[in-house]
Amino acid sequence: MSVKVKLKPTDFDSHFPTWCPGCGDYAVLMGLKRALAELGIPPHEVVVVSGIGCSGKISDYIKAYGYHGIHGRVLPTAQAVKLANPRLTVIAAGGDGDGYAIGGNHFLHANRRNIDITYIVMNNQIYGLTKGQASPTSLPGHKTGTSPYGVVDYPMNPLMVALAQGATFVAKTFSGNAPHLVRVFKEAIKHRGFSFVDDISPCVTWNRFNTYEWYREHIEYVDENRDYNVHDRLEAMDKVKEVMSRGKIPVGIIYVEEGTEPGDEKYRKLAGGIAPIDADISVKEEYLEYLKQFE
Amino acid sequence: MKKNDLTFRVAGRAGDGSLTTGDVLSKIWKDMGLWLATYKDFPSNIRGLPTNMTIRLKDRQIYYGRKNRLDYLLAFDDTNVKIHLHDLVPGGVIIYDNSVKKELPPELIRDDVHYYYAPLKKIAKEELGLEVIKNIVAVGVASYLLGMDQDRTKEIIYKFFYARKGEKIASSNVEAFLRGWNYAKENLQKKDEYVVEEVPDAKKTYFIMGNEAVAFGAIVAGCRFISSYPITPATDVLEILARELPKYGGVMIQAEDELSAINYAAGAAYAGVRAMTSTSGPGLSLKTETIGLLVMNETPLVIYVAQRGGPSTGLPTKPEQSDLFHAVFGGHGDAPRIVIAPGNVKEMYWMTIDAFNLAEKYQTPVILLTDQILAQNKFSVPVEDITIEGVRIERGKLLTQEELNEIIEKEGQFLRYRITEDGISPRSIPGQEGGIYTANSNEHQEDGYTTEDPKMRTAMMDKRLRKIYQTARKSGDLPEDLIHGYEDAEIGIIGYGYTYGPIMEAIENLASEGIKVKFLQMRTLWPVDTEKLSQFIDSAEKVIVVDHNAQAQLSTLIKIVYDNHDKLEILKKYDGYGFTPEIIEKKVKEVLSYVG
Ligand SMILES: Cc1ncc(C[n+]2csc(CCOP(=O)(O)OP(=O)(O)O)c2C)c(N)n1
Ligand code: SF4
Ligand SMILES: [Mg+2]
Repeated sequence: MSVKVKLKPTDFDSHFPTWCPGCGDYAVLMGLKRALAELGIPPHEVVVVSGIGCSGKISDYIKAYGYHGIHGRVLPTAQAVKLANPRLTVIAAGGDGDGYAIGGNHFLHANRRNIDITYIVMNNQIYGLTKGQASPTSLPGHKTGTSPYGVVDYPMNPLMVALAQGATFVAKTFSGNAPHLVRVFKEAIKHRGFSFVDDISPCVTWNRFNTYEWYREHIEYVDENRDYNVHDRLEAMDKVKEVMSRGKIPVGIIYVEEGTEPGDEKYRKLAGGIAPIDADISVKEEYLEYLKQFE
Repeated sequence: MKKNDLTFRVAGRAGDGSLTTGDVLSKIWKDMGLWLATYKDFPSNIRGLPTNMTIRLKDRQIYYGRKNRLDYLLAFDDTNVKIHLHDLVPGGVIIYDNSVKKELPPELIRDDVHYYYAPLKKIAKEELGLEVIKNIVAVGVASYLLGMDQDRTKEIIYKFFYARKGEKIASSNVEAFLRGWNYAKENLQKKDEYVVEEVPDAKKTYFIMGNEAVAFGAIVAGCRFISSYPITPATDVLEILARELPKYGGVMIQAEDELSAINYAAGAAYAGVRAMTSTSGPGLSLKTETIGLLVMNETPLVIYVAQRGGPSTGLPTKPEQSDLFHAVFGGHGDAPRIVIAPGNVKEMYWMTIDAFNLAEKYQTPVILLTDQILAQNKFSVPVEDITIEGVRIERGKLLTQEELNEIIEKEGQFLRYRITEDGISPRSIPGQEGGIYTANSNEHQEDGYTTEDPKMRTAMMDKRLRKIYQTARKSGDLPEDLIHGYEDAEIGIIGYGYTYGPIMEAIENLASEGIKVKFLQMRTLWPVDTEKLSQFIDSAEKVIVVDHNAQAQLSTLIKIVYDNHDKLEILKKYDGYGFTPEIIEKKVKEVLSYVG
């Protein structure tokens, strides 16, 4: 991150979103602009890599370098942008289908690589853009276009997956609580390493089951009066398990591991501290050393 | 006496070390000044199944490592004698390891072939206490029989192992070599005519594998990021760059799958780093959706594809050219890309550099298409063919911060996807002030924002097509298709990739029989140089298309771009083995017989 400059959230304004009024993704967009402004990161040093889905449109709506890729491939792209140029602040963003279904494998591996990016999943427990099919986080019994008799499969637990895969920053926030969301985003961006934020971002059009009200009734904030050590992975897992066992949704900064070397720094070290973007690519005599083995 | 012209095959079971034996022999012959080409034939398995390596040597340029007929067979068991017996020429030689079965059964005895029995494994185990060293015992036997100089060979073996494994191992290998040599001297009576001798004043050559040349091309071209998923026959490139790139500030990411591999590479490319991904057929299938994305968001990327036998897992270690359709047309939507195909190791180096320049100049994915034969075999190349002189790094319309400022000053704004006459737009990279845009997989307007406006959609599509089909096509930047052989010949041949080797050799052999042939070596497979292609076809009576796949994909591609089909004769093959010069010579003669 570069020298702090005075910025306003409106400095990140771009095209006006085409989301439905009330969509949880608005709060993510606003929150991201606010967090970036408050952290003083100028738009041209930010890259927002997004997937496909309603949520994936976010890179179109924020003034920053954007990469609106294909369905499910947010994380590889975003990690490589950071590996290529560590001076950039990289935000990866997408939906629950994008990140947990079609891109699920990359989620596993991003947690273990610990590259210094922030990954925000706008989790609405539904496929929004394709008009209401079940997602990996849809709850059993939920009737959707593809689950006319109710969802059969057990839902995925992204927090536990991240914790089990070695994530160094795990949080859950809620689009219905903007101050919380901004605080979580800021901490996530500041964290050195892979920061995972699962945001409850209600889809007001296709998910009439998990509504704002429903979420408000189910959310339990673990970071108000925290009763476990946020730096202890097993305690964090226990906490998530315990809250969920009571039918509640744990929200808050769940786990933070400090001091672990980010993956991109490890790769940079292998290359003598030089990032690919700064590498000299002029044609050099020293290349010829390679050919000796074939003489 | 048959001097310095030899086709030699080492055959055993996977795990026998046939490839090691081949490597050591090649190194010896290379140092003696001979020109070599190999053909490795191995199963997709680590131990047990038959494996062999053919080495061809001459005292001058040699194009290809395989022929139908074989001069010399070194067989580690009777199964391998059986497999290769009928490939031997009359007067040919078999060295047979009779440690286990002392005598070969009568059905494996040909009376026009010379047999030498040597208990290689037994000598290794009983006299040297190390069974694996039978490879070097075998080298000793072969070296004696071929009339090679003992001291010179000893010295090369010592140096070879000293450099890799140190003094102790070098000495024990020399010892093994001597045991083999002495066994042959005391027990075998030379009956055949083959000899291999040092070539005086030999030209300096590199003995290098195609994948090794591609990796070097990438380094020299300034590639500083590779992400791939291991797959035969492309893995070497990933492994070499894993070792080499960090020396130059680069990064290798072993991706979790090919879907991610190409997207990692794309992310680095978008950020302004020269990047590549490497794979073979199955991986190309997984990467295909992203190739369309890169066409759409105009991100430069080099995709190295070493073809193998398909479909599906197919023949994982065997050659084929059946991914041509996929490389050229694979994916949904109208997504033109550049596909180039080197025909030999020298071109693998230079065209890798071309690929990086083309990708950035035309802001497009470039597929560098090769095959198992070129990728995994070693060939002798004159040292002056692989140099850094004359290498140019061309980054096209990639802007510096100053150039970006100028545009903004002059035009009031920067448009990443500005619709230009040549179809190529100015390109900024993240971090540059004023260069903000979205690299969008949706159809977009000039600033990158999503649009479905019919006019803008049409204009954007036209722009993307224009830069490939007009600007790149007419630029002279695409690797030129080459015409070899005799311009005035009636019979033409068209091929690409490894078939360059057997075709070139067939042309030489046919010429010595008074038959003239010409050869169009296609090096840019998309967009096709239709003028050159049509002129070539028009100027011949008949044109043989050498097509290593079942559906005649190259012939079909030619038919798509040029409608004078009547002259085309398809020569197909899809049995897992490369074309040989003999197969091509036979086809030429067959076609000649009804042309005139
Ligand atoms: C390879 C591929 N398969 C399917 C689609 C269709 N598709 C677009 S978005 C989407 C799911 C979106 O759900 P989610 O990721 O949860 O995002 P949301 O719209 O809910 O924000 C699907 C299946 C696609 N674009 N690409
Ligand atoms: S469909 Fe749902 S997810 Fe999509 S914009 Fe509307 S509310 Fe948001
Ligand atoms: Mg969703």
